[in-house]
Amino acid sequence: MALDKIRNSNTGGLHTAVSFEELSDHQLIEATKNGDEEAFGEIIKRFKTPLTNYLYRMLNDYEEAVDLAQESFVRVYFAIERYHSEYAFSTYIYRIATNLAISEIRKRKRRKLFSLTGLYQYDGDEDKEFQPEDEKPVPEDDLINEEKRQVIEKAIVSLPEKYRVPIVLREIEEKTYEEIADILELGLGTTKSRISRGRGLLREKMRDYFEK
Amino acid sequence: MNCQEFKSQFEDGLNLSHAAKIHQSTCKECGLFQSEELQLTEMIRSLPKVKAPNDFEFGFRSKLAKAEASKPFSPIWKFLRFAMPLTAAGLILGFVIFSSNIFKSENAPQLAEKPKIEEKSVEPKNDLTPTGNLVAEEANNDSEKVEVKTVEAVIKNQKENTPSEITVNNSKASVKKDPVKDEIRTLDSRHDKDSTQTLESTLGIEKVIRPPGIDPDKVIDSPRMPLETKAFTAKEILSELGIETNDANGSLKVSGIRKNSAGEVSGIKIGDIVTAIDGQTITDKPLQKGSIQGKTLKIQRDERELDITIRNK
Repeated sequence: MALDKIRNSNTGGLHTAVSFEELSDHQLIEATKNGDEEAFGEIIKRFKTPLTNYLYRMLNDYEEAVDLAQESFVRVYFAIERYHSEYAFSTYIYRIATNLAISEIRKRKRRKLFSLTGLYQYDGDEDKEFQPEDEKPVPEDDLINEEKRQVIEKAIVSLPEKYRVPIVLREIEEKTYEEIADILELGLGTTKSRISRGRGLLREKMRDYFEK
Repeated sequence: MNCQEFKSQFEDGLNLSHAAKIHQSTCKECGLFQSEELQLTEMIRSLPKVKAPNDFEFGFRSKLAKAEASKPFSPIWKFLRFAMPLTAAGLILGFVIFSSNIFKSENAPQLAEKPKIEEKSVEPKNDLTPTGNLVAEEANNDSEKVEVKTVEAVIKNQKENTPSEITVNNSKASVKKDPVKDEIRTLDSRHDKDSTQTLESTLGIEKVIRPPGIDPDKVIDSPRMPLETKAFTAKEILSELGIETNDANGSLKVSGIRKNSAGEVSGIKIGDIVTAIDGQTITDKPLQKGSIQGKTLKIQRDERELDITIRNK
């Protein structure tokens, strides 16, 4: 069995049990390619929460975020034979998730769609689209008050798409500039520029909440 | 260090250099910038982390099953997805072209100009007048040849007096003897088997018996030839000029002249022997009416040879 091969190769041929947690992303992908479904289950386990969080901060819609995160894994699964290990797997799956999120954002813009849990407000800024906070995630916010939290969430979601994506990757997912550049398939300079510009827009929106 | 360099160094997340720290302490704007940036970062990073639901993997599996059921990944299907519409379009196009051709060919005979009913005056000499044959051995473009053959056969039958070949209604024959020019009707080129009856009724004869070797079912399918291009014997041409002749050793001896005919006006006399018409020596073979118009006759009269120009009556 493929997983046995990986386990054996990891342990230098010794038949000692190697848990999935000890395998790298690439090893799990290889095991999945060889038909090991449980290996892909481990991949899901590793990335489901960061991916859901990332998509939630992009869309501010929990149900949609979960749906797109699952869709991202489906696409990875179907295209797993074409996956090459030249990039980190996280870069690969974040790129897929980002493309899905961007498609959804553009779809919402086109249709002016009201989500089941949200509403659309227009106050002159076409990018100022937001939805009220979903109640499902359990906030663990003891540092900032509820008002500040809501404002910053709205401010992020209201950013134009080209600034929102790198800001979320940088500030929430804490990716490096290089990783972000790989995910977005942009140059490093462009990536830094967009992050800088996005942060500037956020500072403008949050200026009233900064302590002098 | 200027403000731009300070902001760039700060955004890169690197430890501030000594020069940057000096600039920060002296530049109020950059000090404010740094303060806001730090607060913004803290606010964003303090946002609660959203967790995936417990049934996340179950949802993934159901999506996977749905996608596998709905997405055909077969290469054959991928090929058919493009090939089928193209094939359907080709078939429709082919059917339309085929149908239009069929429609065109069906309507072509109707749309084409019907053969004209030609009226040509002939002056019958005998009971039987070659009214233009209506049958031919084969319908082809070389209809002129066919016509010649058939007329020749009919006239030969006349000479041999073979009533078994053509039987003529007496009453109709008397009409044909009338010098009034007769109308010869040509039939439609598209006769079927029943066209024989039409021919008989048109000609007023009881029955048309075709020469042996001619399939009665095969009828001319081309328009009738104009009379001018049909072949006639010298005797018939002279008859048209009002000169009745009898055979005399390969020539024709004038036996009678109709009054006020072109022959009488031109001075032809009974007893003259016609040896040539328009320079063409008289033989038993049919002459081409188109080329022989009977304008000059070479005759022998009292052992003299005369060239007589035919004048109109």
